[in-house]
Amino acid sequence: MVYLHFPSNLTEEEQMLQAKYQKLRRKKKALHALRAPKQEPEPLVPLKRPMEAKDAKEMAKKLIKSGAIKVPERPQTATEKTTFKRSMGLERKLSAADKAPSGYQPFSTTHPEEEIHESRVKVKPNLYDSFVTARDREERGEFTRDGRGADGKPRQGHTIYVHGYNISEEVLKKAFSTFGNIVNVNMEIEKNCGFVTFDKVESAEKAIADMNGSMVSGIQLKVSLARRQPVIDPINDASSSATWSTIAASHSQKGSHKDKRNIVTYDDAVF
Amino acid sequence: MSRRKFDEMSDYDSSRDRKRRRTEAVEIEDRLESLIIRVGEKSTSSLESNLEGLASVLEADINNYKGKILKILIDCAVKMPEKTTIYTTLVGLLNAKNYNFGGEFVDMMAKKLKEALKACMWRTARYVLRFFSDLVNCHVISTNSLLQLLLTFLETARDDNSPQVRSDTYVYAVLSCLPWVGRELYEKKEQDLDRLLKHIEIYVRKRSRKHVPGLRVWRSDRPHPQEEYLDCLWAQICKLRSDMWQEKHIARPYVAFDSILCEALQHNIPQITLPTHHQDNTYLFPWVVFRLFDYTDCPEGPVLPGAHSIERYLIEEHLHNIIKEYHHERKQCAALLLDFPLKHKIPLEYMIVEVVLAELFHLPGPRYIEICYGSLLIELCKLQPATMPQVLAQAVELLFDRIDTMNVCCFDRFVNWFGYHLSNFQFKWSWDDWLEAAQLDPSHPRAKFIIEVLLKAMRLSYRQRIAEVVPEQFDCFVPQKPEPVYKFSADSTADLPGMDTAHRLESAIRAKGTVTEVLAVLTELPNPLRESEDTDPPYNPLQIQVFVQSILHLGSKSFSHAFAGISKFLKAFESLVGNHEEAQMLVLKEMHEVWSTHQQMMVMLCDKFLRTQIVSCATVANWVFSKEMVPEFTKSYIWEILHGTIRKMNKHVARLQREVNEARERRVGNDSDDSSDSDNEDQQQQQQRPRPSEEEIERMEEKLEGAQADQKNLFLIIFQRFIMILSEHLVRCDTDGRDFNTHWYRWTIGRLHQIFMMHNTQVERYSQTLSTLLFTQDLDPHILDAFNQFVALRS
Repeated sequence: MVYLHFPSNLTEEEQMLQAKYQKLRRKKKALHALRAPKQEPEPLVPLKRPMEAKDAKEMAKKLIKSGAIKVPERPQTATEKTTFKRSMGLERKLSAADKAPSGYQPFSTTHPEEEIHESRVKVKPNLYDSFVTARDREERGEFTRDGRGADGKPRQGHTIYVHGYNISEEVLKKAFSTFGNIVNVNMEIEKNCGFVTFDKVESAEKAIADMNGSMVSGIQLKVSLARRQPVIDPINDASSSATWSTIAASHSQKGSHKDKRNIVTYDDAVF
Repeated sequence: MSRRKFDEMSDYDSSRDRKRRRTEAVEIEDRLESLIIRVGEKSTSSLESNLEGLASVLEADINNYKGKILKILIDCAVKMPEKTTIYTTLVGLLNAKNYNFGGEFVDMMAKKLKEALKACMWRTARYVLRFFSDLVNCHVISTNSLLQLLLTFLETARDDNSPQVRSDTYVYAVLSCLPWVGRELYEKKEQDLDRLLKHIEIYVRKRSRKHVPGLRVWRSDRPHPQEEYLDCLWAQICKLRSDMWQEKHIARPYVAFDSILCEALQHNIPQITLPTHHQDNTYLFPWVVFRLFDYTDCPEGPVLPGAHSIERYLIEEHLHNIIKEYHHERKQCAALLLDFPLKHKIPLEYMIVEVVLAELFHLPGPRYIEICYGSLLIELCKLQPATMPQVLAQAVELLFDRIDTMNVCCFDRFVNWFGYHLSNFQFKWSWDDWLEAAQLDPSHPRAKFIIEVLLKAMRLSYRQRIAEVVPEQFDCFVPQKPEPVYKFSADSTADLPGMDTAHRLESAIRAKGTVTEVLAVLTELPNPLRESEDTDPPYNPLQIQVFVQSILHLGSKSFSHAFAGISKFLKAFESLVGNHEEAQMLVLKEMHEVWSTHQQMMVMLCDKFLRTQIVSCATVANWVFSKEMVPEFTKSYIWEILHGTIRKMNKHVARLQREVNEARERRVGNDSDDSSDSDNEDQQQQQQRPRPSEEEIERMEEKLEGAQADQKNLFLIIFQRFIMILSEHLVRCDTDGRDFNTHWYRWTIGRLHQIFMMHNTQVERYSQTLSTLLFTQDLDPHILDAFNQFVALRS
């Protein structure tokens, strides 16, 4: 979350902005609460925060220019360097960096960083995982309905499930490429859904947090963590390995490549 | 034979036989077969109780089905080496119950061994010997008689009239059964064992290792020593000896039956005399043990057995056997590899990757076609996505780190496999880790690797995609856009001779002109070779230029277009080019001018020109070494073309040879009367085809001799050109006082070595000629070494 410590004398505009921000926080909480009983079919309130926050930033910039407000001279710590807007995901990532890996928690009605330390258990690479066959692992790795793994850990994963009326691969790619590097997109057109695999867990989390319930190209999206998640723990320092693992685990090796070349026609038979 | 194949056969038999009324005997035999084959597979009861049960079932049936039982047991002993100890226990139990049966089994196994030795079936011979060794543990065979047999095998080491490969083969067989019987010999016959090992030690010390450098994947011994197979196994056996012959890998079910087995009477192996050396005999081709990982590379979990621990050998042999048995079935092969019996005790993924890469990089050639390993690795990644891709990625990084000293044959295979693998993984790779390579000399192995991988990737995809996938620092490595350069194009401002004719030729071809019409257009071109009215040059270079450029330009849209153009105007090619080598060379030069940015097109066109006999194999070889191709000389595609050319020649000779052999057999076969009941189909075929006359056979033999002369000539040209350019380089460096060991030199000597390796069976035929004509003693030792290493492979 954003901690704005302005000088005590707030201008009217600032107070207005603060009030607005409080409202957004409440909406966000409500959204979390709504999502808690997993995958409610009723439409969710679209999250408009990014847009408005941007406006707010612009406004604040103008204010600073006009000299109406002052920005604190030097940020105290590294984490406070970004003074104004910081996205949810980045915030979580930064706070997670010095605590533990963070994840999407379907049951949290409060903000993630408030309970991060107690709920996080350091994920240790499971030795057994390395030596069981894929089928064994898939069976074991099948998560229970309540969204928690068999061992009670909150779910995490690279792959998200996206549902939306008439969505297409292009739409998904466009909408989600801003969250991180997309490794693979699998579409199930008949079911109006698709699976997007990111190369980082954080990207998947951020995408779920920001995109669930939002409108993209006039389509309302439902975004959640995919039920089937390949378990990938880095076992060595080969940097490409995670990507290869993700691709190997997905069912279609072909991936989401779109050939951008023009079709060549061979109509004139010279010989 | 594999378990599965056995099953399929029995399934097939049973479905076929069910229709008939089958006798009770057949039913029982099938049941026995299935029981024997399946013992040791996963079961609800313990292996020991299964073996005990099976032994009593068989004992009851021995009187009626002895022949069948013996045959099945021997098949299993030879074809399922991974279950050796299970079957020796079974034979031990049967021997304890029925002494005569044990004796017959030993006699039949000895017969099998004799046959295998005579037919040069070294694998079978090795497994029979191993089975005998393990039968000592089961009290079926006396220790003395096994020692006697082992000593007989070792006698080959003293035979000075046979090549080293022969004694190597026998010594290897002896060494490879010591993990099974070493402990027993140590306990019972320590002195004899010591004497045996002393023999081996002396042999291993004095044997020649000239062949080794040619078989190494890496020139360097860092970080892991590259040991020859016999040296490595000897080191592993020495380590086992110092561990008091204790090993932890082999499961020994007979231990549980010790009380029964120790009371059994033992047999002696019948006297076996080894067949003498014959020059047609083939022996084990030596190899160097491939080592990529050591325990520090596997960060967690069970420890990788050391390079000299016997477990490493045993596990690797088992994994190689699984690949051998299932290499046609990648899915099953991958599943079986990952289901390795001791998978929890070893870092299995690392061992599998090492074994698969060992087969891929095996010299002189991979055991099976390269794609088999590529598809197997992908299947392994899919089955074990959590670990396998990561281990493989680590392997690639290690290989890239060590690529500076990699053998050129292996370099090519690494490029081809990695390009193929990437194409199955969306060309995703941590390219950024390799950015340093962009600063290197383009002929440095690392830079070259990336260039060649991207070229390979482009063949499996397209240029634009490759350009998007790699970081922008690699722009220097991204292949050029493959586009034809037509020098007579209408936009060209240069006023080239033949320009107008080229345009007229183009319209003539577009207007569906015939060969005669096209040739008529070309006749207007003057011949630059003609010096006076009286001379009549054999070919007109200008005509060839205009014609080849135009045909390739008009057929530039696809391979099929180009091929169609060549086929349609084949007659024109014949009349313009003919048999003249310089004219043929001109065709290749013009082709290279048009398509210099499209390597695959050039490879395909060369192949087409050879097939249509527009150019000869010798011309292609001369072209590869020509002045114009100097800048291309170290690029892989040139060698793809040259090896393709040699292969074409080899196949041609082999086909003619086969035809001559068949014709001779038919002739001889018809002379002798057909008293034997050979296959009916064969006889019918013989009747359909007329019996070849003596003249016909003579004509075929002449053709074969002609082809063999061409083949010899081709190799002579290639080796002569190699010697010329290498000697020139060495001499020039010497006079200039420069270091001769440049990238260019290493690539070139590597390519020479590659010719020896890839075509070793064909070159071998001419090695006598080569040593008298080309690779003479006055040659620079650097060049001569390559030849000597090759000769040492079979000596």
